[in-house]
Amino acid sequence: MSEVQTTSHQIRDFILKKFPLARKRGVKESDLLLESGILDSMGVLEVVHFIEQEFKTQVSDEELVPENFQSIDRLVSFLQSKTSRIG
Amino acid sequence: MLSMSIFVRPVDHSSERQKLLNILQVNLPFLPHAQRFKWLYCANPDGPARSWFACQETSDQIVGVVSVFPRSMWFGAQLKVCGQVGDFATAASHRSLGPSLMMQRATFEPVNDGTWSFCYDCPPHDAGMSTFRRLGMKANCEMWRYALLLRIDRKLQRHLGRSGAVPTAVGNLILGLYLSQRKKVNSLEITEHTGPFGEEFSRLDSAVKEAGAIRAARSAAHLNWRYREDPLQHFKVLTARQKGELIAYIVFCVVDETATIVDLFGKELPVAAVALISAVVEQCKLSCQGIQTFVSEASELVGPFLTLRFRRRSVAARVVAYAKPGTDAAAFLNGGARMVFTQAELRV
Repeated sequence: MSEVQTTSHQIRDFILKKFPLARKRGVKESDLLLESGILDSMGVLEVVHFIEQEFKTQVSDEELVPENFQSIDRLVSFLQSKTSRIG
Repeated sequence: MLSMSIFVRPVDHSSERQKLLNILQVNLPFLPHAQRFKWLYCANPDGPARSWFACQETSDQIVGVVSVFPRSMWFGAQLKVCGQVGDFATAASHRSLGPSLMMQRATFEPVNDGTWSFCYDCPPHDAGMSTFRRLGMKANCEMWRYALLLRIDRKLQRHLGRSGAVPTAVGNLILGLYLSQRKKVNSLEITEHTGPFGEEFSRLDSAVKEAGAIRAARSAAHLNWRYREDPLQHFKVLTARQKGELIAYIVFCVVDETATIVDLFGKELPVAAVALISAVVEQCKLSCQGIQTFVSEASELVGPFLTLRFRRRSVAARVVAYAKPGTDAAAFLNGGARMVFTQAELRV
């Protein structure tokens, strides 16, 4: 399994575990998380906390844009770009 | 990696009124914003509101709005002007926290530039606390909802349907007997106040000072604006007088057979409050299903409500205040000031 896939699974598992609406709808990688109401601002805060802990990175206020949190795919791209920048 | 593609800018209420109303109506659809705009944003005796839009950088599309409504507040014995945050709305597609965070920070600007001593927000739910958590701010106090059941018609009919007529009548009779066991305060004259609020209300406001407490000022001008000129709600006011002197008053409104006590204020409160709340119960017991009120933990009104068998139900909101670090207001807030809040302070 590629690193991207692993990251994607980890984020999806967290979202499924934490957010009942995601479980109910069986969220997919491309599903819109904000517009569908799966994530609200408090949910984003939990996702941020998760990725900061799990991926040992810091998310700045400026990075809390819809583009980075729109879907699991976008979250993965966001994380990849952060780690590649650090690397 | 994408970073902030949103910017926040002030709103010009005269030229951008419709844009403001549009974003509010889409995201907070339960309020008739157009009907209350002039009253709420422009006619407040403490000054006009200030608002900010969150906009998408590339398209200038408005994705959020927040407003702050000026409010005179008592800080112990000192009268200060502060701002109450309200009409905070972010488009569902932009609830990624960043835009809301930028708008929340914008509400601190008039405090940082010295226009207002402090500002406060009253998020009614957890999502509303997310910006404050990110900013490392905690709630200064919690507002609790207290409720008193007056009739059981609705509750029983929901379960029993038409066959519930007899049990409902019996239940209401028992409830009526339970509620009638109240003490009257003979030294106070309770009457309905139907006209405008006069200067005696301003004098009462100035006379009630509590060291270490924060509460809204209740000048006659403010009360007239809030309770007589509100285009959406009709309020009833009862006063408690002793030998003609205004001691205290209570403000309530009735919506859908539920009475809400919006404000209760005055001198000799434990005694006067019991008398005034009892009078509201008396007025509402045949026409309303229940009475509710919202009170902060630090309020001395909690006692009278519990005495009169109101039950503490749930947290209705949290109050989070911001003052510029290093100022008197910040020292007062952080020095254990008690927020003595009712719904008068809670709702814009």
